[in-house]
Amino acid sequence: MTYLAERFKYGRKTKAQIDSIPTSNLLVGDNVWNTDINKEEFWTGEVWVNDDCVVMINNEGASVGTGILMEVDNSSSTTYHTRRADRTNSQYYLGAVYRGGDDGDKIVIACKGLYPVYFRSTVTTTTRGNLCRHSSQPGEVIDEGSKTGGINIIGVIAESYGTMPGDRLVNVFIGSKDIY
Amino acid sequence: MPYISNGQGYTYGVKTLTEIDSITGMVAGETVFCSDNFRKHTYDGDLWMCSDYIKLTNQSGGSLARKDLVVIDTGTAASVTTTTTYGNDLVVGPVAFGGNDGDPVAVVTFGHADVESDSGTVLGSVFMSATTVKKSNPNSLPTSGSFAIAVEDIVSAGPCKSIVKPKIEFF
Repeated sequence: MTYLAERFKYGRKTKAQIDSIPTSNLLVGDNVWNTDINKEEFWTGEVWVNDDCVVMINNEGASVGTGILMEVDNSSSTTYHTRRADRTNSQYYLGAVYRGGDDGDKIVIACKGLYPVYFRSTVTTTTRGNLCRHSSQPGEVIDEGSKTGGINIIGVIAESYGTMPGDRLVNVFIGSKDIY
Repeated sequence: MPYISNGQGYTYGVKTLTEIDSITGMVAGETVFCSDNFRKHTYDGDLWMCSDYIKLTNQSGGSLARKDLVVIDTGTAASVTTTTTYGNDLVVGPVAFGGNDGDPVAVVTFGHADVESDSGTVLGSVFMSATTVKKSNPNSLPTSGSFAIAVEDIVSAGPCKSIVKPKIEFF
């Protein structure tokens, strides 16, 4: 008896290569293996998504990029609206943008797993294993400076940097936010 | 007869949850892509499963259906039951694929899911278990026992689109 081995319609690609596939060629359910994060991704009809992520609509009023923390926009009555996360609104927190977009676009937000998160401009170094805290700057994080912490912790830093990368993105193991 | 469509490799192609419910004659290992929650589902011989679900046994004493809220059954291993305790800390999530008492059921622990709200709901509300069995109650401020956040407004009790949130926490 024969069987079909696991296969990916668009093969194995980096995130940049995946995002370059012409969308006019894509069908809902098309799949690809993302070699950056080692996960299968699926075309929803509008965006590529994987099992760590949810799809929302950017209502920030401006574009949002990779790594920005996002929350449900409770000031809106439109389904799926999301905006930059404010740490004072902990109960609305979702996760970090994995695929961003312009205002009104569908965007992909990682709620769990290992993903790049945007560190505030005041951060000069990161230490792997330290907790990562949502800063007072909406959507941006800082190194907690320790492996124990309290409210507004969003994950564990996975990479040490003596000098921050130019894009200010550092991989973080993302979890739910401690809101108590 | 199953088919492979569009070169995508899914046994049953692309379907909504309701359409998946109507599929018959499945064999373990067969797949379908769900356009409601953007997840590939695999039939495990009992249930359609995906990475957002956990499989547990229904010990509620009755049948469970999609959107019914369940909690851990402390009396039986790997089982769920229903509750009338507001904000029950043992909440698992809403049922994705249900079953009769004693059957395995798939429960949503993360991602896009409809929750059966017991009242009108404002976008951004946090869902807790309600005092009405199998229902969820929306709150403006969460306490322990929260399991999902509403992503739409609804004017009265009924299904509400939500994001069920993962419970990985750091201290």
